[in-house]
Amino acid sequence: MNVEDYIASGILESYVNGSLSEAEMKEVDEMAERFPEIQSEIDQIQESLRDYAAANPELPKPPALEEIMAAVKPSVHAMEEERAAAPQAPQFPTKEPSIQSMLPWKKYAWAAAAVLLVGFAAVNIYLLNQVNALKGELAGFQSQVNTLQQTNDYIQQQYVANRQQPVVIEPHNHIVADPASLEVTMTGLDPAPESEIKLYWHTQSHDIYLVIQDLPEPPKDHQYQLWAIIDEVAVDAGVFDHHLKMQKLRNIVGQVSAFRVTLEEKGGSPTPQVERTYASGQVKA
Amino acid sequence: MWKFDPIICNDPSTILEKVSTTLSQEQHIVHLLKKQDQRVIELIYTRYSHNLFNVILRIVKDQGMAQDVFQETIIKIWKKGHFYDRAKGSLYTWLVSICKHAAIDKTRSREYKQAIRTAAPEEICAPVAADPHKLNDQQAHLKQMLTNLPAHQRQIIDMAYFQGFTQEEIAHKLGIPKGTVKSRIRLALNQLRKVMHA
Repeated sequence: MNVEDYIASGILESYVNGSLSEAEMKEVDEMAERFPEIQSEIDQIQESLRDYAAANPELPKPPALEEIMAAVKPSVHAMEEERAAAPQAPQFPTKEPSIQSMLPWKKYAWAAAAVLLVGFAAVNIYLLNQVNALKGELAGFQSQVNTLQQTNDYIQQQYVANRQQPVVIEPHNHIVADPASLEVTMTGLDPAPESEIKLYWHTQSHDIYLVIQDLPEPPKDHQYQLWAIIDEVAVDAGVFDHHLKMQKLRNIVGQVSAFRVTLEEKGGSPTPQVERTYASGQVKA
Repeated sequence: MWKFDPIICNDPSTILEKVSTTLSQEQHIVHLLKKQDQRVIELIYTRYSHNLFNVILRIVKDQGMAQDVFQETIIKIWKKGHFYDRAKGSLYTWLVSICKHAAIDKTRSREYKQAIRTAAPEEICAPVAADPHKLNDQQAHLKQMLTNLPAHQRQIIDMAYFQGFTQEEIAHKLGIPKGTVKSRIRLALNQLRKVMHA
């Protein structure tokens, strides 16, 4: 399709109207990036509508800017306080305390030198012992490295042998049993009510593990994506492979109220397709 | 990687004017979003408020509730702006998406369902027009130019871009096929641009 046909198709009017699907909006974004005349057309439509709105104040309109700025004030203060309360770099005294005022150094210089000498000797003996102990530990580590290398070779061989098969990580009992792991059961919604996913969120490391118990095969070129709901905003927790029984996703930090799984185009989306929510689970405090 | 020269200015329209020659306005807004700079609220409001409000109104169908959702959403956008990723779409697409989801969430709320049950259908579906305001010189000038836009074209622009009607609803209201709605919107916008730049 050439640019003129594309502009004449009416898709840009729908784009400005925000009535296209997210995938279609992104398609227009890509076209606008490739062809400046498309971006210019979008800008002109937007500008005309801004002028139209200015000339027609009787049309339905959002709350006044002043109202919004007044409403945002408490949040601005809260954010400023939060920033101010953030840990600061340690403050060091700019002036060192005067030793001279504490000790008449001439009188005690010899005694201090003797103490230092004894101290150095003791430190040297201690360090020598440490070096010997570390040598022993190093030998032990070398042996462990050899063992791990062998294990790694074995896993690599297994991986090559099973390359055609999805990699299945068996559920780790230590993750499931760890009291710091928060278990969230995500149950299926309308598109697939039979879906079931267990999520383990480690409250200290913030790691997220998914255990997929039941989830339908996604359509071609689509993938499931996990979202953490923080302050009613969906935060991307990453796409995942529904074939894998257990997998680790990206860390999530914050007050998560719920986790949700949506079906998105392959590679994921910046915001979820809410109408394609396949599973959801509340985080219990 | 683009370079940014900070522009100290409190008037959003002036900021937009100044940046237009050096950076795209979108990049400037994104830069402020990432810094959680509150001036970004004014910039987004100036540039996108009517589009975003219409997106919300189209889903919520009630002007009062749409105003609440808009206010909450624009504050949320400011707070969560650092999550925006240009690689996954333009700023406008991201803003529209957030507004849609916020509006859908509203329609699922108990408050909304209660309002649906108690309000008469017309109150929910038909946006209530705001009181006309006194126009300043520039607005009066624009209004004068709009007199050259035929009434039926003004009607379709009002419905599609300001009163929160879907294309199906416009087709139903005007008794025309949906395909005709699309072409009439396009013609009306073309005509609008002509009369505004005549």
